[in-house]
Formats: sequence, C-alpha cells, structure tokens
Amino acid sequence: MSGAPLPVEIRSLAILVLAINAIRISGYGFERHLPMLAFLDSLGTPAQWDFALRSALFAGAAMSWFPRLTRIGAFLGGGALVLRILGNMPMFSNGILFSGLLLILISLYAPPHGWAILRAQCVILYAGAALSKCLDPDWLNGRFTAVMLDYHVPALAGTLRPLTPLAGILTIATEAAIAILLAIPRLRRFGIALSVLFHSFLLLLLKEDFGSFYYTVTLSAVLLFLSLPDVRAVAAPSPFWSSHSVFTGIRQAPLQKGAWAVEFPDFSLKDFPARLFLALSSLPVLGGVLGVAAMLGYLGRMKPRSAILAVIFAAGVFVWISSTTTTPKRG
Amino acid sequence: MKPSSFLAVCLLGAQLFGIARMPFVEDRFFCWSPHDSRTDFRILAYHNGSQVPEPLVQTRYRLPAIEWHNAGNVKQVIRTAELRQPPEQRWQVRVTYRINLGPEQVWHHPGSQ
Repeated sequence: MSGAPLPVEIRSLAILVLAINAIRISGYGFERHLPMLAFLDSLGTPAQWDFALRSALFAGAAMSWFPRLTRIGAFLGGGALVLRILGNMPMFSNGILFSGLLLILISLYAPPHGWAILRAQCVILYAGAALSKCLDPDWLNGRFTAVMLDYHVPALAGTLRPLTPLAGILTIATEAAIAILLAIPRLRRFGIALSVLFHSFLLLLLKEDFGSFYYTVTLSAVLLFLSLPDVRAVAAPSPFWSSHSVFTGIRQAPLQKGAWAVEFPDFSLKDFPARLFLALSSLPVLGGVLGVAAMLGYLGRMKPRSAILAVIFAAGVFVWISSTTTTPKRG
Repeated sequence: MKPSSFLAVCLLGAQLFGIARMPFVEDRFFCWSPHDSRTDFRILAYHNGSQVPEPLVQTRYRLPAIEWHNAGNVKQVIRTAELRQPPEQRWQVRVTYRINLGPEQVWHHPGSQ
C-alpha cells in the first residue's frame, strides 16, 4: 500500500462506507455457504469465518477514523465484504461487492492515478448495469418493471402499468447517461446530480435501500466526482443563485481548518429554508443523515423515514451542486 | 505505475472482463447486474431413484423460492453445489422455473443447459 496521505474526500468516503456497512451489513451475518472459490471452505469453521469477517469489518470501521490507519481499515473492511461475497454464492449482492471493492481501491490509492481509478470504478458499475439491461428483452418490453412494481408497490402497480415499457428504457438510458456524464470531466456535476436523484427516486418508489447500496453509491458519486474546492466556493455568487439575495453572505468554512460547517453571518427566519438546504450540504451533516437513515433502516426497518431523510439528502446535494461556481480543479 | 495502482487496475480489468463475457454466458456474477430479473423456481432432487426431502435440498443449496437473481445464477449455484459433492452423493436435479413470471421452463442437472 502506498504511503501517500489520502485526500479528505477519499478518507471521508472510507469512513462513511465502513460505518454504514458496519451498521447495515453486519446484521445480515457473514455466513459461509458454497464459496465461489472452493478453498475458502477449508479456512476455519463457519463460526470462525463469521467471527473473523465481522471483526475485520468492525475493526476496519474503527481504524478508519485515525488518519494513519484509514488505509489499513479500508483494506480490512473491504476485504471482509469481498470475502463475504466470495464465501456465499447463493447470497451474491451487488451492494456489498461495490462497497468492498471501493474500500480495497481506496486502500490501494496512490497518486497520480488514484482518483482516476476510483472514478473508473463508479463508471464501470453503471456501464455494466446498463449493458446487462440492454441484453434483456424483459427490460426493453417492460415486463421486469411491471413484476418489480407488483412486488414492491402493489397499490401503485396497476396505475403505473402502462408506463412500464417506458420505465425500463428510461432506466437503461439513465444508467448509461450517468456512466457517460461521470466519465466526462466538464459534465461530472450533471452525472452526480442524476445519480443521486435516480437512486433516491428508486428508494422512494420501492421503499428499499438495498442494504448499504443506496448510501455507498450516492456518497461515491458526490465525494469522488465533486471537487472540494467547489464546496469551498459556495460563498461566491453563482450564475444560478445570484438573483436570490437569500444566499448572500452564506459561506462554507474552509475545510482545511477542519471546520466542516456552514457559517451564517446573520440569521433571519426568511432565510431559513435556503440556509437549511445549504447546511444539509455540508459533509458532516450529509454523513449524519446517511448514518441515521442506515440505522433506522437496520434497527426498525422504518423505510418511510429513511426515504424522507434520503430526499433531504438529495435536496441538499442538489443545492450544493447548483450553488458552486468554480470548475473542478482535478482532471 | 506503482504496484498498488497496478493491483487496482487489475481489479478494474477483472470487472471489465466480467462485463465483456456477459453476452456469452447465462450467469450474472461480477458484472454489476445480478439482480435484474426475478426467478421463481421449484427444485426437485433425486438420489438413487428416490426424491430427496425438501429440507435437505434447502440445506444444500440455500436458495429462496423467489429469487431476485438471474436464472443463470440460480443454475450456477446448483451446478457448483453438485460438483463439490463426492460422486456417490450427487443428486439428479429438476428445476421448474419462471423468469419474471413468464412461461414455466424446466432445467435438469446433469443433462441440459
């Protein structure tokens, strides 16, 4: 592993992804059954396997909070999640695999290619998903969408049935568009917004966060593709918001000082809604919202509450993105 | 390129291989689309001419009756589970399944793809 310090966005991503998986995935257990690779069956008893992977994930989540140990924590936690996938073929999961690979790639981060590699992981995720659906006639004729709606939201399924062929094609187009937009530097912010809105829409419609997938994929889109200098420039008048005096005087504290908060020089009730949105766009609040959503989902399966939190999260990201003025400084 | 970056690129390359093989295979492991169809299935297994009790079938495969996985993944689970058994303990398996609530299909192992 490289000794180069992790950029703050990547370190934040590691901490959040590990925390969310520790809350959300550890509840499912790390049962080993019919591993992808036969030799994994010979590594201890199933109980020892479960204990080792669970411990590695929790240890990794704890270590990630210490700057010098974040890489090792990401490797431990990511390795545990990837082994969870390799150790149980019947319970294969996209969400767990994505979290695991992302954490391992973070642990391997090294300039000058580190950013490009992590971003490529997100692009590959969407490209693979879009291509697979293109090859499946049931996605093109709407059959899968109809079946999914019947299962997840039977009350709405009848009403939405005429739209199912269009919904299937729109899903493919959206996933392909996200892959393309994220891959083109000057269009990245549209890719981020589309990704967050797409996954939040699915979460709201299906009332399902797919384990840790919703949180990991939206956090990755924001933290890997949105340049932090953009965040610091929230104070400057932007073309989008310049006509809204409500945003004047609001600025985000410099992140390098460790004060991840939005500063409000003066406060009035009239400005509250806009300021609430801006406050929600600060990194710790984003992390907190996601953490609470994950915890609610895990502890009580209170999906509507998780969904409300997710909408607030998406709104915050939207305002954050549309309030920025500078172009990304990294390639 | 640093060794850590090389390893990372290899991980990405493996995923690209998984995506590239997608049009030529039935399973959907490691190509970011395992959950893109619903498979409803019933597994009947036979050993030495007798039907294997359902709890034993469940113990061996651990598959739910409704699986939000590609049918190819389900078949691969059964295929792998049987291959890892000693020859005298392997079962003949008959799977009736529906993809996305479509027409019923039948798959045998060993014997058909």
